[in-house]
Amino acid sequence: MTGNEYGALAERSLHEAHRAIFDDYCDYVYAIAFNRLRNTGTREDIEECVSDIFADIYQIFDEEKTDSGDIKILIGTVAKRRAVDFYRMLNAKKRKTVFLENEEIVSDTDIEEDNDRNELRNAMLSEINNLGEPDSTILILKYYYNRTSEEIAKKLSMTAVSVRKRCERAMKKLRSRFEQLDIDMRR
Amino acid sequence: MREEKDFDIFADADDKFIYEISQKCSPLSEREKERMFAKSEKKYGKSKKTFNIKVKLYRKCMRYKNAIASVACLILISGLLIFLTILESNGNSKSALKTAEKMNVSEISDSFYDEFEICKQKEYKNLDISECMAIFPDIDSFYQLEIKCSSENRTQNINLDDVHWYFDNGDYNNKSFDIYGSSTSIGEAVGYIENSYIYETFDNIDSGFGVDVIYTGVQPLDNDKNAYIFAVSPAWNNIPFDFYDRRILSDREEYYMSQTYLMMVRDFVADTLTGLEFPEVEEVGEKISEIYPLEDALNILSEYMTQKSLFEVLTAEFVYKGKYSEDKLTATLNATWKFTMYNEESGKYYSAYVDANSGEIECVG
Repeated sequence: MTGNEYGALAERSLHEAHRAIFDDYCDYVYAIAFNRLRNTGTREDIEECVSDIFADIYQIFDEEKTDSGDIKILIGTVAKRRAVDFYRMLNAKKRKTVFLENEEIVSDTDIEEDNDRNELRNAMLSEINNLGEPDSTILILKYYYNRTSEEIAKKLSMTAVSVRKRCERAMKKLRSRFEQLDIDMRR
Repeated sequence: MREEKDFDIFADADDKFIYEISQKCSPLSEREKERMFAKSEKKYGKSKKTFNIKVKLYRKCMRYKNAIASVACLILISGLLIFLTILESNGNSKSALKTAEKMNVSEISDSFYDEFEICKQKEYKNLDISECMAIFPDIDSFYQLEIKCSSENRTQNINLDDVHWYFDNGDYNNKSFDIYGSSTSIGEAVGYIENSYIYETFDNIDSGFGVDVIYTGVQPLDNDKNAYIFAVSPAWNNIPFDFYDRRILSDREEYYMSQTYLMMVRDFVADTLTGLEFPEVEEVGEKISEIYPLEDALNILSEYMTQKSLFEVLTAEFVYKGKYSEDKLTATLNATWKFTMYNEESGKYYSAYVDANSGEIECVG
């Protein structure tokens, strides 16, 4: 969806425009919020954060004329900023010490390490995808999104037992593959 | 220090990786998505300084407090269609139609309140519309509808004696009342009901459905708190339903309006007082994008009504009105101008409907 397409839809119905943008980017925004808040907030906190992000996005589209380009970048930026705010707010509420490693600090020395980690992550994702379906989806839902076997089973129309079994087998396969490639999953 | 787990490396992933993960699979159920969407709409609504709930004027209507409640109760409780002798026709409604010209719905949407103001300045033989309140939905076309009628009973006995009513029009959007949780304005409360409530409450309803708040009441509670009461109706593509549904009692059938009541005691948490249902619906026939404008509808009404008596027009609304099939299991809904009126001589309230497409008129009480 482009900014112009959103604008045309919003002229007809603001509600429909919101719905369209939400349907298109809900999973992306959720993944960003989840990524930032996974160790700090509850699932309810993440839901709150996602709804805050979309409220911000609707507001931005109300106030600013957007161009005809892809709005994914704009949405990604708004989502990251709001997720960081939310993260700080949660930590302030809990009076918890914010470790520097969790903050967005970029230095010269980090850039090289970041690149290594990005490459490693992409290699791992590629290996996970090579496992095929539904195993790759099961692993992502379990290890990225921390979903329980019961929740995954419901989503994939399987039993929780078969999700666990498939997950065990897939992890075994993946570990052996990572050993061959010298990848440390806990890095 | 936290124990390291498998895939910890995913925790601080870059944008590209996150995007790929999000495209690969969604962890969210439809229910979770709907909940987040509803919340985002609610937060968006609250963050706006002014609410734009359609293009409604909003007028406090103290003098209609009893009138509107009486109209609602009359229609809800009696549910009987009565052609009234006082509405004897002295003219021919078809003669009004001869001079009437249809207009594009979008043009009517754009200029509705200007036309409404012009109509208010005009002198009609038997209609006084100087204090009338009017609503036209944000639409540019519509279809005739066919719906399946419900046969479920619903509670009708609710006490609304202490309720102070506001017709849903616009001026009082910023008027706030203390309800449990926060001081919430009428605009915010109505915005929540019209934009978020059904998405938070109902699963699997057709996306064409919404709820339309017809008027909003404020009921005083203990401890200086209040509750909002909303008279609502299901709406299809922004046009509210105004049809009689039926319920089957042990010995007879009764008909009642689809209008129902919601209550908000705590901010942005609503519950139904009389049940809210969304029937199976199908759009039939060709798209209709031209209708008789408000002024022509008023002319048709004026020609139809007796000239021996004056009728005060209280409200003018654009609604879907139903006509039942013979077996009463289905109804056909047509977009219609609805007028509620008061006649001082008889002390009674009446509703008149002018079909926006055909110009046919029907009066009920």
